[in-house]
Amino acid sequence: MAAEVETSKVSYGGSSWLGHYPVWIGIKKGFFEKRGLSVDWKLFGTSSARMGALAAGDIEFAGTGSISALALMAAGSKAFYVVAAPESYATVEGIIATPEIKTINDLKGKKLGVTFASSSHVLVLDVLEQAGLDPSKDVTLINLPASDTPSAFKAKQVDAVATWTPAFNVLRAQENAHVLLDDREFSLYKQYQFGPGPDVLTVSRDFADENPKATAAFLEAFFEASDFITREPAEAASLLQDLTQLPLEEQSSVLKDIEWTGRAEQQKIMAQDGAFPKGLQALADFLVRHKQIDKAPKVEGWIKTQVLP
Amino acid sequence: MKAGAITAKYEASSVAAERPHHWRRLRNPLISLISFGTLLLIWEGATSLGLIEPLFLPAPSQIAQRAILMAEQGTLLGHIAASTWRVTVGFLIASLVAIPLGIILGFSRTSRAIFDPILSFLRPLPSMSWIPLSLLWFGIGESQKYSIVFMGAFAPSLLYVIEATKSVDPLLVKAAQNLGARPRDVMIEVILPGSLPQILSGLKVMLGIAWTCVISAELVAAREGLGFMIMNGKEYFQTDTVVLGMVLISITVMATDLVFRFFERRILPWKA
Amino acid sequence: MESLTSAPAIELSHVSKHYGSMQALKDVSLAVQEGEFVVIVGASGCGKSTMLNMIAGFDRPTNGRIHVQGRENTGVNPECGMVFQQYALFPWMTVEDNIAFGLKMKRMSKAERRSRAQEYIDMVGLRGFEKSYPKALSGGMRQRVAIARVLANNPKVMLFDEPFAALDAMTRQVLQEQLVRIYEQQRKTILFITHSIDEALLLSSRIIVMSARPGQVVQDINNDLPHPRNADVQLSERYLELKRHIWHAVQAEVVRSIEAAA
Repeated sequence: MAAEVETSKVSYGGSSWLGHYPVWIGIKKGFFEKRGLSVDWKLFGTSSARMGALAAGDIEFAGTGSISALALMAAGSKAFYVVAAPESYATVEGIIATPEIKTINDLKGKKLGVTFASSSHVLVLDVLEQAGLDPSKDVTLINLPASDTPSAFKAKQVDAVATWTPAFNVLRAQENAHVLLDDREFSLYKQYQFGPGPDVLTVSRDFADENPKATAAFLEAFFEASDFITREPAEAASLLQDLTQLPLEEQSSVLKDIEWTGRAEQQKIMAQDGAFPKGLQALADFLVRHKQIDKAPKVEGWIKTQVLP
Repeated sequence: MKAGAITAKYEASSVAAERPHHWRRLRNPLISLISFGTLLLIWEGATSLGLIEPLFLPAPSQIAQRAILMAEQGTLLGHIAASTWRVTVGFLIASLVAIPLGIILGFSRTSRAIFDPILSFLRPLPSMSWIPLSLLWFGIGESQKYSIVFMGAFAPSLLYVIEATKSVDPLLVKAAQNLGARPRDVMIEVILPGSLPQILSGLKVMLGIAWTCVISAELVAAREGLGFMIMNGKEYFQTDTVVLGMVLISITVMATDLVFRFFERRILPWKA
Repeated sequence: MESLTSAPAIELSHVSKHYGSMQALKDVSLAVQEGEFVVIVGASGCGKSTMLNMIAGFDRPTNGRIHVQGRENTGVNPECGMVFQQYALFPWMTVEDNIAFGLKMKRMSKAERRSRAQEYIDMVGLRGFEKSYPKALSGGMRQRVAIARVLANNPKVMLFDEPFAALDAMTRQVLQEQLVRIYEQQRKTILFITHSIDEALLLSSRIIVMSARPGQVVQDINNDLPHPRNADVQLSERYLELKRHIWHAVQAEVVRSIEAAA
């Protein structure tokens, strides 16, 4: 099997975010190696940095939030394909607020910290729109890195934050804080079960076109790993500790909040009329409506489903 | 040469003398204009021929379109005003503290000995390194942005002022003392005005540094400003927004420099 | 005239000055009476300027004492107005403000300062240049501003440190004549340093010749040339005799200092 792939060395852009767990596990368990691939793990703190590196040709594979992928499509870059939607999560991202903020309407005149250009940002824009609030007038949105949201909230510099795990889990456990809402309130989730910024696995277009076998091998190993996480959560959790530095117990609880999309399921949702392209297109339109990107790209031009037999 | 000689023959000599004078005055700006225009044309041509992908460097026309779009949305002026205001406040406070303190430190060895360890500690710190502390001390409001500009500009400004005071001719201090000036008079009447030209040219350099500080200050907890505009543009792969932000910083700094020069001429009439 | 019992305007008793191992002045004793115009001549590096600096209070003697108007110096003494060779005008002040500087230090009102300054501007012939900055003036004009600035401050003693050395011959002559006129008018006590024997003979009522380093007083000559010291006086037998005498004294010191250096 190892002899079949065109090249043995690939690099992957990841971070400690849960969307990258399968690649980490795949490396640790040797799922890539047994298919003749040696994967070089490259750490990038933000999706945009990872996608920038992919567009510049510095890495071959990258996991990313779909907002960054859509932004790069809107910028006209044809440099990559979306090849998989690894997982879904809806209860580890949301808005956390002080007790006196009981409904979204109570956010009026308040300060809300959120990482701009993130899925949480999209969630905020959406729920404010649903409540009839203007994000540029009624609420003061403040750009904060996700890792800074807990300290800003604790220091009472903001009245609410929109963020994701692990900051979300940390804040949820705080006194004087409660979960105002989570991703399940997102309008596209209500319609398509589509979160505000689901993760996607991307690959360099040139690489995939020139190395179809290596690309397929990567995906096979990827799904073997996500399958492994579902089947053996305890072992997976202990392997992931190196990556996330979370205590074992917390790591296990994060894993419980994720629903991994298996290989078979994948083929169904990623198909041309599948739920995923539809949801992604709707998300693109949403971003245009909220002036986050200029024009909605036709996302099918980037989705590649025939990688695996 | 030949044509010039013939013209001179037929025209009044004063006209002939004026023409090269006029030409000389316009020559260099004209050369600059042509070189700049050529650069823009090559740039535009390279992108429209597809030699450069817009993601990596958008065409000038695309940047201009982005500027028009943002101006129509009304966000452009907001970004410029927000950054300019932050620079102005942070820089003004830094100068208002650094000038008097620098003059005292330049004048008195004892006070210099007192402040030297603190200054040596502060000087090498980039303004970026103050961001975590400033967030804890000042929160995420405007005062935090001012503080970053202040911290970035203060220590180097102070050193500029101290150096400037040393450039004052000691003979002038002697003359002032001889005419009955006490230490405080010497500082206000001699050291301050005598070092003002050097202080002002130092502050002009500091103004540029203050702009780099405001850009880093706007990376965190901002919703407006040119630094925010660049970072947000980067997040969305809008390279035209990024380049537009850079162009606007350059233009704004040039404009503030002109304003600065205007005041400099007012403050230092004896230099003209 | 002051009574004879009053203290000398300037009195140096056994003054020495060392800079590290270098001795600039050695046991100098000198008394300048009120109203005298004393000119000090000597080879360069003989400690003339050191002496002036100590009288003004910029520097302290290593040994000995200096009294001005009967009081020992404790710091910079504004009673000794100094005119420097390099003018030392404040470049950021107009002529008027430069001249009024000492008055400002005395916390005099603005109106009074202005009228007093005008008086001295007229005295040195700079009417019309009140609002000019020093940069716009010639060397001679700048030195007249410097003299007016000291005069306006009304010190008892005026110290001149080679004030005309940087000026051209014509300008120097004009300024020398002006200074003599001002001296006759104001009757200040003046201590004046120069290395020009002619300048010393033209201006002084008394000439001190200093030795090469370490500086000592080697000659103390009463200048009895009649006033005004015009061309006739400068060609007189007495003038040439004094000049020859001083020239020899200075020359001997110059030779001594060259030999000491070799």
